[in-house]
Amino acid sequence: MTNTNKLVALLIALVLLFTVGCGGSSNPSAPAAGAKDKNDLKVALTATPPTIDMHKTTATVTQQVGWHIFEYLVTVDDKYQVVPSLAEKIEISPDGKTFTFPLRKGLKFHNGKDLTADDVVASLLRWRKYSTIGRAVVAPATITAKDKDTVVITLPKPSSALLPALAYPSQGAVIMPKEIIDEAGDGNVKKFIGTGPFEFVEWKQNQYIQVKKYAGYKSAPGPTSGLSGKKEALVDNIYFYLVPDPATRVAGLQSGEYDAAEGLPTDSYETLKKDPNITVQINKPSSYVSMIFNTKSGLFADAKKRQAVNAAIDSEMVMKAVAGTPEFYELNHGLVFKEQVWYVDSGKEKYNQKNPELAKKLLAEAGYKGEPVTIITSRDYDYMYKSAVVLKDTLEKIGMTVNLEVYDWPTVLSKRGNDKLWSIFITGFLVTVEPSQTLYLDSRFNWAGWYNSPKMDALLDEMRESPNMEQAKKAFEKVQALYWEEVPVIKFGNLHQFFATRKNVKGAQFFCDKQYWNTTVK
Amino acid sequence: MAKYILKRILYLLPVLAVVAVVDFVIIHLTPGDPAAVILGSDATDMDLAKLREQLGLNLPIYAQFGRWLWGVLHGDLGWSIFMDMSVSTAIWQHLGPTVSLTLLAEVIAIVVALPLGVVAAANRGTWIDQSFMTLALLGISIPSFWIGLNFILLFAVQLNWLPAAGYQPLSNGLVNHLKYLIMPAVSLGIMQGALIARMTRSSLLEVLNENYIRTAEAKGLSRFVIIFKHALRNAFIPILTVIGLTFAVLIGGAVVTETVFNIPGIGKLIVTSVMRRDYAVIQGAILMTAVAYVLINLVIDLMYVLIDPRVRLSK
Repeated sequence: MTNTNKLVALLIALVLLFTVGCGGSSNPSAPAAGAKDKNDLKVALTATPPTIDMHKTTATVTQQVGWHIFEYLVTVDDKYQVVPSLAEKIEISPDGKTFTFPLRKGLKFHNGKDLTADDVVASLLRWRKYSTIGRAVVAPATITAKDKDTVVITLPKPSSALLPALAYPSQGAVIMPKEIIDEAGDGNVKKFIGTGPFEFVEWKQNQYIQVKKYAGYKSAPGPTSGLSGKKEALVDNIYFYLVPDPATRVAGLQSGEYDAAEGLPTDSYETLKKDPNITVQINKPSSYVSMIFNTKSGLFADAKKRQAVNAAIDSEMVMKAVAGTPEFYELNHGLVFKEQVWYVDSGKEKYNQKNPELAKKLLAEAGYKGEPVTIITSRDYDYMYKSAVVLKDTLEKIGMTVNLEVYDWPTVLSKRGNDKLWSIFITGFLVTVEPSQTLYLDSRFNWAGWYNSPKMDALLDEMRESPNMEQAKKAFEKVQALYWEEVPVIKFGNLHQFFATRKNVKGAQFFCDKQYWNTTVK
Repeated sequence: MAKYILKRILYLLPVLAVVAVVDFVIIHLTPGDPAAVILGSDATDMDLAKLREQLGLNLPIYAQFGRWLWGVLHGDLGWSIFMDMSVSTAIWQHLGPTVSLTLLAEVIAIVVALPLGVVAAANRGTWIDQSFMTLALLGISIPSFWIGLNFILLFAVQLNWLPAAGYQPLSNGLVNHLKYLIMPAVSLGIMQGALIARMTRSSLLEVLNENYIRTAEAKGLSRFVIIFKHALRNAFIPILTVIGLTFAVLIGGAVVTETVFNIPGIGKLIVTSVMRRDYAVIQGAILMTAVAYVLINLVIDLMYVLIDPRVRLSK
């Protein structure tokens, strides 16, 4: 080496040292989890919500953030029974047509304004305008403020579906101040102001949504039960980080960048379970995986062909492909979960038949001649793609011709609106408070798949108009039996939710989805 | 000189026109429906149709293009239906992280690559040259997101030295800022640095074969003076071009790296907007990237003159 070369080599060494040193020098001052001295909770969510205006969207992420800020007039306890929330009590007239909700005293919105009956009326009217379930159940009702603290809902016929609709968490009937609603017009609300234990602070696009403890919060009386009872903000701030990449959520949780992470891939279960800093949770009931038939046009307008497919399905095989290990799924026929009061056994024999011979016979009877079945699905949600692959195989084994079309999720959403483009798509359904809320059963919801059975609609109305739970449940037995008879949708099985926190996070409860009130970080 | 710059800026217009049209057409020919994403998967057809009308998505594509173009010509890039803010604001908010990341990655790349390339050229054919160039080849071949993921596993998960993902603006302190950026910057810098190192070596080798270098050697000048004073400056134009190109690519958003490290930059903005079919944002961000690309190239062209007076621009 010449002198020059030595000099240059020295230069490189210095440069490398400098670069490495830069990385190193910031370490001592940087405790891994960032702000451990602060009483903040950092949660990694899977996607960015379209808005936090809960009246306007059915998106799950909106609810995951929104219900920390907003509250419902009534809500559900751990048995999924409707109980008061902002209302002090629920009074039902003897004829079952008038519902009176006196409000709890002294409640204030995050902007300092008193909660009045006018705010509740304005909120419920706005919610009814946008929510499918709201329209279906509350449309014929008159909603009025009897006085400053009392809301009255009057129906032309008695309905057991009204209270569950008001308590349904997704696209929920949350209460906002009247002036915020007036200001919004047809658009989204400009300010997110509710009565919940946390108040909205800031939304940094593509980074996080910050909420802080609401000092003036008044919890409903009684112990915590489901979404009802005592709710308390035990941290100063919650940061909902928007982290679409699942590997990043896992790594961020392990390194302490996040205290809790949602929607974790099931294949990281073993790794996270072994990590001494992590607590894993398998949450249920969460959702069920289903395939939806296009019953409006094409092959599956014919119920017999749908029955043929149902005869062939091996639910175990689908769910195993979806969830990997048995810890994450459960085979069950019910349109409601067995934890719920509505759970019934009807139609059970038609679930998980694994009978390809019967399927072939039914197909032949229905006159199937090899017309192609188009399954549209997406890799954006792992479970959809995996179940579609198993389904394709199952259908081919009974002699059907199958095209599997894989798109990104927005494309699937737009294609499924056109009945000429698909035969089957896969999706998941969340817990309902009352089974007539199930989207695909009622033709008047006009949801993708377009199942239209006057018999089913009549049964659903019978159920909704039942004067008591006992009769309503009897009607639901018939609903579920008819569902498995006409199979507009085939339920594969229940899929549990995989959730994990750092060891220092205590009290994060799962009910329908995750709640971070009553949660501490130490 | 001024005339030259003006001319170059005028050349921008046809480029941007092409970008605008192609950009718009491709995005709108892609299936997908922002209304369905906004309202969620449980929304009904009726609600979807209503929202589409409200958003102007039911207009024919030429009408939508006309609307958009009219806005752009008036300096209005449009409105993000998701973020409920103007596209310019959205881009502005996401520009900071990308600029920081780009600068840091570029500095790391140059600081490592130039000396590597020079030493390799000066020791052509020796084991030093060969091992440096093997390293550079590795750097080009390994995707930066893979390096990034391994960095996360090592420095964040195992050693717990650095945060796994996220971003802190410069206003929260330089150390904090760098702590979040160093891993993504190094993983991007490796790739860019490898390109620059290879270009430095080959460009320098070419110059080292010139007659005037032999003359300098014959005059008895030291190796150091020959390389740094006579050779490197003459070899620098192609190197500068590569630096400019890598810079322009990075400023358009390191899409995958920004996603892996959850950095709220332009790349992340484009990805989330594509996932949501937030048309105006995608169009605006791509247009912005095109402008940046052309402008950076202009700056590089102007720098040629500074480095090499033989280059005359005004012709």
